[in-house]
Amino acid sequence: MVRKGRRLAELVAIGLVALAAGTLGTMLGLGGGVILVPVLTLVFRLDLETAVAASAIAVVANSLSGSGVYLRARLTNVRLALLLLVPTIFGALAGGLLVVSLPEAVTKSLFALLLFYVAYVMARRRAPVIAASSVEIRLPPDPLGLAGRYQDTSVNQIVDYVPHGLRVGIPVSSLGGVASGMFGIGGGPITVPLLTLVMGVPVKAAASTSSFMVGLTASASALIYYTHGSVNPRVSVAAVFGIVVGARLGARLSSRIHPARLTQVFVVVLLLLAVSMGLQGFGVL
Amino acid sequence: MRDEQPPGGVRQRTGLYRRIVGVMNAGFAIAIGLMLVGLVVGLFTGEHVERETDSLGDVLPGVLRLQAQDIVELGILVLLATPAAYVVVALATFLRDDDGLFVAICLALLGILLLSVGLTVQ
Repeated sequence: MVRKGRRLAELVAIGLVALAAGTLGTMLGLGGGVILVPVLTLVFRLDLETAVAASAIAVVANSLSGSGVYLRARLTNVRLALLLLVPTIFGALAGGLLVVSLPEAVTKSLFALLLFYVAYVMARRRAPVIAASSVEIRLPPDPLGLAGRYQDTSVNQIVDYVPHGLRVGIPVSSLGGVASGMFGIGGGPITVPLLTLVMGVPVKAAASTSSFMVGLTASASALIYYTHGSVNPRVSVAAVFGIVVGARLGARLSSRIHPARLTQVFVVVLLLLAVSMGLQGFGVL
Repeated sequence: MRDEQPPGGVRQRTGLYRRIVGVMNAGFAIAIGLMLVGLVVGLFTGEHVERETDSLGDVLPGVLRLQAQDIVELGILVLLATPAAYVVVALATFLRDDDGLFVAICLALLGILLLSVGLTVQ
């Protein structure tokens, strides 16, 4: 009876952590996996494979429940997403196979490096500069029909863009897949900067397209974990419900909380998690 | 019929987007519903949803026996299959539009997914 109560309490606690991770992750545009995986391993002492599998499943659920809004608003560029998904999924499969074959200490150390990278990117992030109306900008040729158009309601403008830099974008997007496959975080921290900085996609369209892409990417790696027996249904279900509810909460809260202060707190949390994960990777914790 | 082509090569594919949203919503609702049903069944039967996952072939027989864990696992599998389902929807749209490049891209995506499942099951 006591054991059953403890199991239930742990399930609720995981759900609450996932809720907090989903809320914070959505407010910062990162998804919740980047917080959930380290907390599941460091606090709940789950092995990394189980934590990554639960996070990947929750990422799929979050993508399915959240992408509809962006698709209806035409923010998502489905053609560009499908094109980039080919190398990304190859990367995800490679990442998924790596995580089930590499020693856990190595994967934890790599995860710590990834957390340092995300903290660095977040710390350097500036408020987006709204460009002049793209109607005035001469768009490049678009032989693959990848161009996008959406209404930016915040500035009341129609935004037209044509993604470019495919020669760099296609190979680099596979790295987003590897990160998703290895760490169950979705590829957002790599895919969004790639789309905006290298391929010239406006940040709103980039975030929406990335959110759409991570559903398929994470499902590919989660299937590997499933067939490998790494999925703990109990933990996964708690993570799914927590992240999905948290993401909705985060979307509502994001306009009420000052983003700069939130980012500062988040960077500190990420650095603490990175150090803890690194120490665990080296067998200190 | 091809969609309207505004300046800059922008393609408005209202039908495709609507169908993808439909598949996403349906897959998500069915998956969450199955997970909830599994948890409720577990609550009534006292079955713990915490053993290792079954192989793919054992899930459906378990669901028919109303085993909580297998119902939850079916929910997880429906969730994981939904993104592949919207690639199928996109494939059908591109086939109808004679869009050869994107037909090939969708087939490649589905091929990679099937290959990965096949390889890992083996």
